[in-house]
Formats: sequence, structure tokens, C-alpha cells
Amino acid sequence: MSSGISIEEGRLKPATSPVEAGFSRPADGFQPWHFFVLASILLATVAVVVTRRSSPEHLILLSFTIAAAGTVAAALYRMVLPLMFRNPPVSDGPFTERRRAALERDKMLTLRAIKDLEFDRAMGKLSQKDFDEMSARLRQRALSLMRQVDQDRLYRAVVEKDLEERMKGRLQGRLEPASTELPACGCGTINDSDAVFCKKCGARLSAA
Amino acid sequence: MPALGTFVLLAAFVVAAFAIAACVAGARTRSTRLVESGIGAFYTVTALMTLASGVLVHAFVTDNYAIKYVQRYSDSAQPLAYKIASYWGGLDGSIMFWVFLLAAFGAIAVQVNRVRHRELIPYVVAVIAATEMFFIYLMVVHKNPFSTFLTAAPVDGAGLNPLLQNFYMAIHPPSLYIGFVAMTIPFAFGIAALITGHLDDAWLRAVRRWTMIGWLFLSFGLTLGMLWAYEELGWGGYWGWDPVENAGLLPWFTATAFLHSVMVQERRGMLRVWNVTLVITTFFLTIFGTFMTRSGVVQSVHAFGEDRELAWLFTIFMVVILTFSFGLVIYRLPLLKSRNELDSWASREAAFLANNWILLFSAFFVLFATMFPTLSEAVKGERLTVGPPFFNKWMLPIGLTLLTLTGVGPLLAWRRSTMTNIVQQFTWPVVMGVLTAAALYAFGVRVWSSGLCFALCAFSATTITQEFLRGAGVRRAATGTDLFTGLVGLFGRSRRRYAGYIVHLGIVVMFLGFAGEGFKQEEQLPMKVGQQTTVGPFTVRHDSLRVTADAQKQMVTGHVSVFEDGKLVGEMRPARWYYEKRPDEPTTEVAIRRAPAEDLYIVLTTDFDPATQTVTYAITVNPLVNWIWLGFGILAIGSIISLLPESMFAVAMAKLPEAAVTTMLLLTLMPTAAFAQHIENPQAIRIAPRTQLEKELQSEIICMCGTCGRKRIGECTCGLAAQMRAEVAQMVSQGRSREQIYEFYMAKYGSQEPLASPIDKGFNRLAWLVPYLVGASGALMLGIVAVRWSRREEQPAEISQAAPGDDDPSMQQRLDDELRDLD
Repeated sequence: MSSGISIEEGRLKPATSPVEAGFSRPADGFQPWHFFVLASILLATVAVVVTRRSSPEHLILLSFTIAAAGTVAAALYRMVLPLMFRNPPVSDGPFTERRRAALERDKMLTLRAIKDLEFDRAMGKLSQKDFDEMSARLRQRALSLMRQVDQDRLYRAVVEKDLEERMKGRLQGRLEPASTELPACGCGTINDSDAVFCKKCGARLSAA
Repeated sequence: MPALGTFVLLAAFVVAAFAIAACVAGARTRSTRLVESGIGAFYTVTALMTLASGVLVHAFVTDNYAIKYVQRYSDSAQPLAYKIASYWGGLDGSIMFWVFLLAAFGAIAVQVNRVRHRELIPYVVAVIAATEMFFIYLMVVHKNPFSTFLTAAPVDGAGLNPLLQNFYMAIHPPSLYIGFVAMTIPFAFGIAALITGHLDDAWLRAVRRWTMIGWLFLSFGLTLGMLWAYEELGWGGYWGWDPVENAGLLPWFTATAFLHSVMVQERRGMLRVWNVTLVITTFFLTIFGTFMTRSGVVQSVHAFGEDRELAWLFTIFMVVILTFSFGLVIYRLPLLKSRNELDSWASREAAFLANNWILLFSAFFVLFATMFPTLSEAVKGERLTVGPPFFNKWMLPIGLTLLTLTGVGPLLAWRRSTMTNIVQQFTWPVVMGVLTAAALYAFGVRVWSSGLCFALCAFSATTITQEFLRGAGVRRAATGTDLFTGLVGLFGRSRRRYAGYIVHLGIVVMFLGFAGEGFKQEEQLPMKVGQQTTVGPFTVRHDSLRVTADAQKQMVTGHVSVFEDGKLVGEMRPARWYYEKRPDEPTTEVAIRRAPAEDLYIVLTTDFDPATQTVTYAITVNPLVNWIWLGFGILAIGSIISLLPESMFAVAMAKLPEAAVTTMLLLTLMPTAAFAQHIENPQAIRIAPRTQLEKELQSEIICMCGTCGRKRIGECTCGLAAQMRAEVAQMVSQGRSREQIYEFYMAKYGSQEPLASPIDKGFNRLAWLVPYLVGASGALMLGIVAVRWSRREEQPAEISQAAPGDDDPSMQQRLDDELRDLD
């Protein structure tokens, strides 16, 4: 699974791996797994018609076994498919999706620990002194985690803004018509827009 | 079809190998496509094992006797359900069933954790696939369930053992296997965490849930086994300390220890090395248990038989597991070591340490005593038997200690409990315990073990009730709701804790059931038509004896009327079934009349005569036994509540109207344990013992027929057991003492093997001395470690020092807001 990022609608999202793209893209036309299901149903039907036995348990088991064979085929496809693609780029920035999720999780657990401590205090299981000491340490940790999560959000917001601006810049460059024509030399060669001398004959080009 | 089955197994072996290679290579080179392909291969193994299972079950259902395994465990007259259940009826199929379940659970675990723990997943896949490869290898080279007859196949099968042809066969083995297999998942995550060095608590959260699932299914499987033994074996008991039974109990002990000590790691960051060790040990014990039951190193009524090659293969695998796993632990010790601190002996941390000690001691004791006969034979060359009397005697104090800790633990606070706290928390539970003990003594109860057990049950039950009531009181004060809603809201707020208390309550109720054993009453005598006898509060009258038959078997049924206080309360039908395919292995259908206070349990012995309508019944009154099954039901409910996703609970709590709370509460506490139907009783040829000594000796001497797995002569139905019972009866009538009878059998068989408990002298002392010495030294080591941990060192605090901005009132306000929103 890739930990890189892709840009979609100006928001940061984890990239879909080639496997995900093959197996779980939004229902839009024929999916690979449709083929295996159809093939299993077809083969099971043929087997049930052709078989000489007719007891329900036999027919059910036969169908189940063929369905299992279809699952094997689908799983083999799943096994081979990733090998046909190149590895997506791996981004290991300091604030990956995983790290952010881990920070949030740790923060939630610390908050729950504080709540549990308050509950124990209310149940009379902790002295006030112990409660104050343990609660202070847990609150410190919670504050530290909250600050780290804030920093992560700040960084992500900065990166998103930067990417948005670059996207706009690129788009504008494609949409705007070329404001200048490319300089042509008397010899017939078309030169670059900022060229001063012709790249073929060396003649000085007229100013654009 | 058999060729397809064998091919599928071979393919699974190869694909599993590819899964390991691809995942490890992909993880090392950070190649996403290799890892994805490896995961795909892992799913392929699951699909292949499903296919292989389908092929085998199809062979059973279509009576394909060309396959040896099908011929051995099925026949044409066998009902469909038992044909399907025969899949796991023998060794070969049971190994394949194990791999199938492991592949299925592994696939679920990988799919669920693929994103959240993506660094660990490649190694998780590798470890599970390696385990699968071992078992598939066993099948492919040694015990292929698809192997066929070389010459013409037999026309019909031999049929499944009649003892296994009952409803429990469908659920007991699958539940146990699920329990064993589910313990592989935590092990795989633990190893993956050690390999990758990602030893934060994230892997623990993934692991805790799977351990809980495995623990629940193990508990279910063990309880079903107890029910099956109670209903099938006819001695009125439910646990025989048989090696195969013990094999299921060992990982249960260590998994229970883990589920408790993990809380210490989550809350205090302590015991990290110990938790990893427990996860490895639990998995190892599941493999060791399988080794015990399949290799023949110990004799058992449940064992699959002796197989030396299998024993060697398992031994090599176990050595590899231990070396690799603990090697990794040692390698990662610097990362694992944490700052351990024990602030007080009267703390929850100390209670959990004691809990772990007692559970590990129990596991070690059971393991040592189970393997002691093998050890004795290897060291002294003398075979002996370590049977139920030995286990019951030495496990009793351990069980009572565990019950005490169940009550003490929840009352203690983290870090330390002050004297005021202790007095406040312990007053009512201690009062109730003492009152119960006093009341029992006043009512004339003199069985000290049962009386003490009842008192401790009262103590623990009061603890749990107090926790609920006080917690609901706190919640009511905080939220302004009524008491019942407050009670239910406890689960939404601290689900794990209160679900755990329900599990504890289940354990307490089970112990209540165990304590009833001390008041058991038994009677065994020949009866003519119209004759009656009184056992406990019941009068039992023999009415008639009838013989009927169906396609598979002949049935001999006794018709009995039961009276209580002169009133007819029911009719019962104890029976014996003689299967045509297996005339030497008749089954006994026990008739049980169940009630909360006691069970009336009637067995039709083989001492009957249809011509004269005379029978011999073995009648037992088992007090409180149904509380064991009820206790499991409560335990299961608590476990399921603990496993529910938090979001589900929060939504459910939010959407439930207040009026539904009471109803819901009642519904969740209704017993779910299935009370068995009319029990089937395995063979039991009994001669009615005429004296107490004779009755005791029937449970202290082992049948030496060599085919019953060391049953006691009171239980085994073979001819030799009958002969030995007659010998014992004669010797007792001649006035011989217990010791003289023991010496007679030891001289006759040349060893202590005929004795259910080894004589407590010389080498045999080690059977109880070593475990208790180890337990005592464990307690001593624990004490030393605890004293060291309680000496605080001047080191920087574990949590980061106050950073600039901690004084910031806005941050503090935000923290308070988030805490408030959390509830």
C-alpha cells in the first residue's frame, strides 16, 4: 500500500494502489470479480445439470466446491495483478496519514485514561493527592499530543495551499492563449520565443 | 476427486511459500507490489483450503469410500450431519480443518488490519503462512486426508465412533480449534512488531481483540467439552483432567493472564517484555497441546493415537518457534524495556502481578502433571498415572486463590490504595463473605473446601455488585439519569471494565457450580420392576425395560418414574445403544433431570436382563452443577460486550429510549447456555459397589486394557475393567486395606500404572513438589522484582516534561472541552 499522496479536487488523499484501483474502484462497468462470480455460477449450473446424483446435499456441496474454485481463481488473479504494475512513489514525510492517525489515537486514549481516573476518584478508589499527581501527568501528555496534532494540521494546510496555487498556475498556463508568436527567421526556421539569433542560420531575429 | 484434493494441498503449500517470500522481500525492499502480491497469495491459500474442505466434505456426503479417511470415519447409514462432522473426526482431517480455520481467520485479520498496521502486515502474513506451511507439510508427507486405497475400495465405511455421534461433535471441536487458531493471530502480530521494531501499543490493541476472541471460543469449547463429558461418559462428572482436556486449558490460563497484564501495559507502560512473552507462550502452548494429543506421548481417551514421526515433526517445529521468537525478544530487549514502578502492594498493578503468577503457576502445574507419566517413564522406566484425584487435590488451593483474586483485584486502585480506600472498598464484601461462612457453618455444612468456596463466591459477587452500584451512583450524579440507565451507561462509558466484571461474575457462578461437587450423592443397585430407591430428595422407581432398533443400532431403554416428597415429578429414560458397525463400543444414554438446586442423573448400566426386566441403575444427585453452564453463559455475554465496537455501543446507547433500558438489562442477563437434551451415555458396565471403600477404589484404580486411554475401572466398560472391579470387590470383602489392594495391583502389573494417583514417595513427589517449588520461587521472584520496582529512582518522568504553552489557559480550556465532549 502506498503512503504517497495524490491530488484530487485540491485535497490531499492517500493514493490508491494498483490493486485497489483494480478491485474496488467505484461501480462503473465490468469489474474483474464479476467475471469470477459469473464463471462460478455458470460452471456450477453445468455441473448440477450434468451430475447423475440428485440429493440436495450433494448438489449444494457441488455448487459450494465450484464456488470455492472460483474464489481460488479470483485470489490467484489478486496475487498476480500487483506484479504487473510498477511500485507507486513512496512518500515518507514527517506527517504521513499513519502518523496523524496514530497521534489522534494516542490523544484519544490519553483523554480516556483521564476520564477513567476521574471515575476512579469519584468511586473513592484514589486519594486526592494521587489523583492530582497522575492526572497532571496525563494532562501534560494530552496537551503535548494536541500540540503535535495541531502542528500536523498546520503543515498539511500549508502544503495544500501551496499545491492549490501550483495547480492554478499550471491550469492558467494551459488555458491562456499564447500572447506572442514564435519568432521566424528568413530561412524559414521557427525559433523559441526568447531566441535572439536563429538556431539554424545564426541571423539576428527581429525583436518580438 | 481425491487427486484434486491432494493437488490443492500441494498448491496451497507452494502458494504459502510464495506468500512468505513476497511479503518479506516486499517489506525489506519497500516494494508495494510484492507485498500486495504476497497478501493476494495469502488469500489464495484461504481459497485453496476452502476448496480442499469442499472436496473432502463432498467425498463424505457422496460416500466416496475410495478415500481411506472417508471409509474410516463414515458409513452409508450415518446421518448427514455426522458425515459432515466426520471432516474433523480423525487426525488427518482435523489437521486440515485447523489449516482451513487458520487461513480463514488469518485472511480476516489481514484484511481488517491492512491499513491501520500496514508496516506489520507483511510479517503477520509471513508468520501465519509459515504456520500453515507446517501443517500442510504434515498432511502432504505424512497424513494426507485424500489418500486412497490402492486396490478395490470397500463397499461401505466403518462409521464414526458412536461416542462421537451426537450434537456436540458439531460444535465442540470447531469451537476449540477456533480458540487455538485465533491465538496464532496475536502471535503473528507480536512477532511482526518485534521484527519491525514498532513496539508501541498499537500492535497491542490489534492483538488484544484477537486474544479475546480466541479466549471466548476456547472457553466455549472447554465448557462444551465439560457438558459433553457430563452427558456422555456417565460417571456424573464433567472434567477428568485428561491430557487432551488439559491441552485446551493450558493456553486458556496464559491467555487469561495476558488479557489482564495488557491492561497494566496500556495504563502504566509496564510489563512489555512479559506481555510479548505471554503472547508467544500462548501460541506455543496451542502447538504443544496439539503435539500432546496427536503424538502419543501421553495416553488419553481423546487422543488420536501414537505416531512417532508426527511427534518428531512437531518437536522440530516447537523448537523453531521457541528459538526464533525468544531470539527476537532478546534482540529487541533495549526497545522493549520500560521503566517499571510499583508504588504499593495494595494496588491494582500488584493484584495483576499476583493474578499472572497464579495463572502461570496453574498452567505450569497442569503441564508438569500431565507430562509427568512420560517423564517418569523416560527417567525411571516406570509407567504411572496422574489422574483426577491428584489434580483435584493440588489444584484446589490454586482455584480458591484465583477466586479470591477475582474479588480483590477490582477493589484496588491503580498505583496505590490508601487505608481509608481499603476499608471503604472491602467492608461489605468481607462482611458478606464472613456472614456466608457463618451461615453455612450454622446450617451444618462441614465440607470445608465447598464452604470456603461459597464464602469466597459471596465475597467476589459482592465486590462486583458494589462496583456496579457505586459506578451507577457516580454516573447518576454526573448525568442526572435514573439508576438503571446509569447502570447501562456504565458500559457505554467504561465498556471494557464493566464487561470484564460480568466475565468475573460468570467465573464466580461457575465456581459456585464446582463447589456443589462436595455434596454429591450416589447410589448403585440392581432393581426389579416396581422396586424403588431413594437418593437425596428423590425416590426413583423402575417401571420397565424395553428393546427397540433402527437402521444403525439397537436401543435398550429403562423406564423410570421419579418422585419428590411423594409426588410424581417426571419420567426418565436412561438407555444403552448398540451400534451394528461397532458392537464392542455401546454408548450409554444418560437421563438427566435438571434443576437449579441439583441434577438427578441416572445411568443404565450393562447389568440388565430384558427377559426378567431387571436392571442396575447408577443414580447420582449432582448439586448446583447447572450453575457451571449458567456461569459460562454470563461469561460469554461479558466477553461479547467487551468485543463490540465502541461506535456500535455509543449509537445503541444514544438511540435507546429510557424505558427500554430495564428490558434490555433483563434480556442481557437471561441465561444463554444451552441445556442439553436427553443425554447419551457411553458404555458403563458397573457392578454396584457395596461399601464406601469399594466405591472409592473404583475411582482410584485404572483399567489396564490399554484401549480406553487410562479410564478408571468405575468408568471403563470393557471386560478387563469388569474383572478388576470383581477383584476389588472380593479383596474388600476379605478385609484388605486400600494400601494392600494398591500393592496387589502394583505387583501384578509391575509398576504404579494401575493407580490413578502416584504414591507420594521418592521420585513421585516431584509430581507436586516441582510445580509448587516453581510456584513458590515464582512468588519469591515476583516479590523481589516488586520490591525493586517500588524503590523509586530519580529519573526524568516517563511523560514529557512540561513544555512551554502548558500554562496556556486556552490550551487547558480546549483540553477540558474535549474531555467533556468525550462522555
